Amino acid sequence: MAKKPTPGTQRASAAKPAATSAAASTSIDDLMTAALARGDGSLETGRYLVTFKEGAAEAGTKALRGMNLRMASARDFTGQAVEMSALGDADAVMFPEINVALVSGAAVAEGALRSARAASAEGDPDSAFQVVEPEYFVFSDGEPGEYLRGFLRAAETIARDLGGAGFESDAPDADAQVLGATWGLGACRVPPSTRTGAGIRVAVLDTGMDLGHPDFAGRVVVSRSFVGQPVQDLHGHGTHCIGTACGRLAPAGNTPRYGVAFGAAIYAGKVLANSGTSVGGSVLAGMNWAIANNCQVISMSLGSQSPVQAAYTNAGAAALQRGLLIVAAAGNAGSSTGAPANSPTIFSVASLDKNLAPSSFSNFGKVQIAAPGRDVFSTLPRPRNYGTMSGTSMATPHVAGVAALWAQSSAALRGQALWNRLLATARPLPFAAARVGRGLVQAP
Amino acid sequence: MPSTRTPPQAAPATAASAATANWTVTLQPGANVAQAARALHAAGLTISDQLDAIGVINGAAPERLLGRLRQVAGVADVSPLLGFDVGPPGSAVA
Repeated sequence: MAKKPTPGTQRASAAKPAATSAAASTSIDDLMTAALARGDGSLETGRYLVTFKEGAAEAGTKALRGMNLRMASARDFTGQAVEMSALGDADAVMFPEINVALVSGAAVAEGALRSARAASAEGDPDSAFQVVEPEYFVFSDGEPGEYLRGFLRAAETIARDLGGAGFESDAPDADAQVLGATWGLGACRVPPSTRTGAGIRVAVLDTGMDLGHPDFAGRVVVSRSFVGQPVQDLHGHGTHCIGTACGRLAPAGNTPRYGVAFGAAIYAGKVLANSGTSVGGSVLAGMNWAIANNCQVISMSLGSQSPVQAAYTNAGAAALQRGLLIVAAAGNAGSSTGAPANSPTIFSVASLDKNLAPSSFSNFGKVQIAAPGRDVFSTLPRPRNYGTMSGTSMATPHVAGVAALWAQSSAALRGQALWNRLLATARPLPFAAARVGRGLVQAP
Repeated sequence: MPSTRTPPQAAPATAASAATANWTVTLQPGANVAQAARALHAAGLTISDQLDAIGVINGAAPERLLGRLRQVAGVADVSPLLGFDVGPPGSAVA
């Protein structure tokens, strides 16, 4: 759970509450989602920590009850192991061993605690409260468990958003700004294409999507989560891939065009948690969803260095049979193509550098086509908005977007026919087919 | 309905359950998914996903039941459930 920050990172206690809707039982994911949406640059969770003066815990608890707060106590739980999701509608939970209560943001903003907070800040000797201060996201430095690992990763995203080191760069390269489009779109001949992807459904199965990103305002977006978390992307990978496949024609300001099928309907399937990992059978469940929804193009920027898996081959076959196409990343191990891209029914994508040579990390072997994957500029969750990333994950949505353009150009270009058209129109490259397949994907 | 997801059920705390693993069951083309799901359940699979559109069923079962699951009519393959990981946010290559 989130903990009290170190003294050096505490903010002034008179600061405005970060969020008033953060209940004591609100999940960490929801708190982080709210933090991102808030975009105010703080690491506050939206809840508050009330520290009682020494020997005043009982009086303080009584005072909180007197403010009509619904109180829970760690002592209500076996071994005082508080399960936050089990707090229900409690406004506050008392941790008697450390003389602290965790209180919802609403209670502080709307109730008598606001004045108590002011009194504590002024050192009121009659107050049972030593200090009322915002709760902050704090993370383990050691080897975390799986849940904390996800928690940590999401937090790293926020920390980066707040100005630290992070993705390779926020800015597109100079050429992109001059040409008005990223190098990747230029290489795929997207800017001169008259196609938009209108009428085509593009599913991106990934870490979700920043649903409030301004570049997707007004777009048709259908979303579904398969990992037990909101679709809202706290990782960044999914939002980046969706940007490349379906980003807008003319982003605001000096931002170059980075998206291919700007008229396509977006189907954002969250099959990877905010930690970047799948949860149970979430990936297969997402594929099933995209196919059941007749998404003509299904983009999967994920992989595992494992042999061909029958389930993915089946899924690819089911898609082709329905006139749908699954494109997947070959992988970044610099080794043989991983699953699911190694299935014969799934269109495998390798990565190219800006000089159109295969990227050093790009897997090889079962490769259908190649696309720009190094230093790809696209969307990232707010407040960062944009950034560059590298990998076959970034090459794959270039192909997905171009496939949507081809699919729009003819109703006959579906499934296997679309597969064949992408191969037939690829630009040959002077490298082995095992590295680049038929070559560089090209827009109609 | 294209798919059904149910939360995994807790396995009883026995020695046999210690070897319980998650499996992906791939069905033969044209197999009746609902019928196969019933048979797999009867064979000891605790089903978490029944994915009709792709002919796949995910679930958990002790490893010792693997042979029995593979014998169920309509089953083409039973393999360990594959996990995926695109790395943490900000990875140099993703």
